[in-house]
Amino acid sequence: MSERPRLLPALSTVQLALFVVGAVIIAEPPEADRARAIGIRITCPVCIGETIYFSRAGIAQDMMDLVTERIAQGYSDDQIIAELLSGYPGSVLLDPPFGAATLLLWLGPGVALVAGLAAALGRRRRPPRTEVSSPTEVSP
Amino acid sequence: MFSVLGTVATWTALTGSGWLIWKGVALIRSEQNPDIASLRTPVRMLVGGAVGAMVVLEAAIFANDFTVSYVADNHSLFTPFPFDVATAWAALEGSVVLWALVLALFIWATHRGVAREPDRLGIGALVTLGIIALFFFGLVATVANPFEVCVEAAASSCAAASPFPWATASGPFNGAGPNPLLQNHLLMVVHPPLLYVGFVGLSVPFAYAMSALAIGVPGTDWLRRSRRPTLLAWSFLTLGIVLGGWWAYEVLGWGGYRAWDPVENASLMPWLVATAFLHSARVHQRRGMLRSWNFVLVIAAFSLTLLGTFLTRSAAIPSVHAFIRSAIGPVLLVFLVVVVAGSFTLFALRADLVSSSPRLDSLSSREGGLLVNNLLLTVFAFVVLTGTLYPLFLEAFTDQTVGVGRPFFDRYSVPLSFALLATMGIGPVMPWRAARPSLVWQRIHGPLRFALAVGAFTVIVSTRIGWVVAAVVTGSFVIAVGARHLWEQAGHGTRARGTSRLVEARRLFASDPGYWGGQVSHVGVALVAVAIAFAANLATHSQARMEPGETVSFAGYELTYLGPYLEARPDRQIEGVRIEVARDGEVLTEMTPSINVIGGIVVGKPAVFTRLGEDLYLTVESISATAAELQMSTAPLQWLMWLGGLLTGVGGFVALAARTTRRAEVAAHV
Repeated sequence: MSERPRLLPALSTVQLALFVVGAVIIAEPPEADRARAIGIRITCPVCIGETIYFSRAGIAQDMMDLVTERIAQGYSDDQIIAELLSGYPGSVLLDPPFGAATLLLWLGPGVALVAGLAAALGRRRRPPRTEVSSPTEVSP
Repeated sequence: MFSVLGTVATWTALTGSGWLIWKGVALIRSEQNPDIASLRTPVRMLVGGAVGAMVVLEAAIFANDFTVSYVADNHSLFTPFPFDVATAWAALEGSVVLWALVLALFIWATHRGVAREPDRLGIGALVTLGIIALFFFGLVATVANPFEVCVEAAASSCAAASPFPWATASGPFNGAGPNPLLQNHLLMVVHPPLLYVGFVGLSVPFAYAMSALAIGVPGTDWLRRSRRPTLLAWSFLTLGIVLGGWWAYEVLGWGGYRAWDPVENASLMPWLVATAFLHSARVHQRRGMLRSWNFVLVIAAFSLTLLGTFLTRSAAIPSVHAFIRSAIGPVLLVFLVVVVAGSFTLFALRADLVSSSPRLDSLSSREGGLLVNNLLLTVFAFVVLTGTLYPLFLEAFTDQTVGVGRPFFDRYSVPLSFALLATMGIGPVMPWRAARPSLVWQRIHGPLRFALAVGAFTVIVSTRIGWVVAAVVTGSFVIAVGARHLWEQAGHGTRARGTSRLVEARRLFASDPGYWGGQVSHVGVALVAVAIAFAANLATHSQARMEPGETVSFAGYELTYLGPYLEARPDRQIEGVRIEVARDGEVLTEMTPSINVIGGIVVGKPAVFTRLGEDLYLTVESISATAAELQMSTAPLQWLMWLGGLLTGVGGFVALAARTTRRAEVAAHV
């Protein structure tokens, strides 16, 4: 078997990849369902842990109606969310904004990933140096 | 009478646990060869008491003995089969009894294993399990006692109960029955026991790990002996999670299967960590690496199951799953803290035992892939953990309320899942130690082209949404790599022995069940990933108010409201609507979403019509004489999720079962 990959499979793979990626890129972006996007970010004040988009409580449906109405009136997402949170006490934004109180929440996973990656790479066998005995081989 | 019997059974098990610990410690301390026979009686007491407690509880329910507080609070004369059986674990106290019973059965199985291989490592594991059992039977005997005597009856529950079985009983004539949400679907009967086997089973690897650390047994013995229970627990946990999602989909009525609810997260976290452990244990056994990491994972997995029980039973977090608030919460929290602090202290004291792992030759190798997999899975678990607990901590320490939900979890879990899928595709075909790029390319270029072709097909016939196409490509890649590898490996045998590929494939499964069972699970996970991408991006939703005879169009269907119906059963009243479903003028089926009133509580019962391409999902909101309000959803490829999820669990059983076959084969040859 040759050490270099043969050209034909590599080329056809690249072609296929280009087609798929290209098709996805030039696709019309799906019409953003803004009402849904907002609705799944806010819990309904009376139901347990459910978002207003999925909840069937009357108040949740009122809130969704308000969202649709405000979108039609040209409000921004942030304005609508602010109005919902202040107008319906007890509802909670499920997508906590980046800030001092949520610093750990936002950065924690990234820090964990980087630390883990560093630890994993650190476990690689170092290039053998003179006078330092390399770790013993382990039978496969 | 049932209170007396139940109390006796509980205390028998409790005594058995204590005796097991005492005898076990004595055996470990004695210098002679450990004689396991002296542990038989305490184990029998423990298992007998646990089985007895559950049998008594079921008997009290079937006898409609409302003088038992648990029966009074959770059972009614009209609870139909099989929900009356499930009532025994549908509420807090009973769920702890089931937990203790499953633990007792694992102790019994572990004891059998240790009897075959009687050594201090095994006895130490039994002692650790005995300590855990002591705690859980202690709960049943005190703060979670289902056998209390009802001394003051309320209308349909127990107003006051006494823990003394000889107290004068005064129970209600009938109870309210279990939570109506739990009486709506058969899946609710099987989902919790499966999860419990998964949760409790993770105690066994924990017990072996603690034993290895405490006694000072280095090496891979503890991994080898906890492998089967870990696989069993993992498989059941997988099935439990999948069936839980299925239940949510069939019952909760919003067309979804998972909501990043804290209690759902509580089962996902141990699953992620246990999955990481199954993989990293292999690295330790094969290459001697990740010795200390395996201890960390096992401690984490067990602690996370305890955290899950705490979250569910403490009412700390609002959730559809939460049991009522009770005194058990703080007790569980204390136990959790003791377990975490104790096990990590032990681990730190024994650091010498696990140091000096060999180093990694190259990241591009099987162990490199498994290392990346472990990193991704643990970071995933960490994301879920912080997201779940952050609101609690923030509120406790700063008075600020913050919600963490699906948008947050999606942001991290989506990229992590794609990275995991990619690792799942390439990792399994990389050789140990170091992989030549040409060999890896040779093994993946065909599957890669196949996956891209499937992606191209999706783009042409279905959707061009990037996430969906990406999931289809990576998912097909994982499946194709596994299939190609099996085909090729079987081909070697075919050429050597002239047998068929099918025979050779079976031989491969028998020769390395862990690996090939794992590949089956990988296929399952890949299918689930594709299904999740479709569900998250292509589900549609709408609502309509309909008068009898009226037809509305939704997602290419014509839905005609034929009329309402009413059905009265002893335990519930069902109000429903009959909807005729047609497509292109052809009538496909009739669906009957309904509203069930159980014990005065209203529970929706959605109707699901499954087709190859999608599910049609109807929920009825309200029914009046003139009109009905209907919620309509489509869920694309929903069946793929259940299929993939079940396949993931089946992979675990393949890994278990094939090994037994091999043993039988070896025995036959001898």
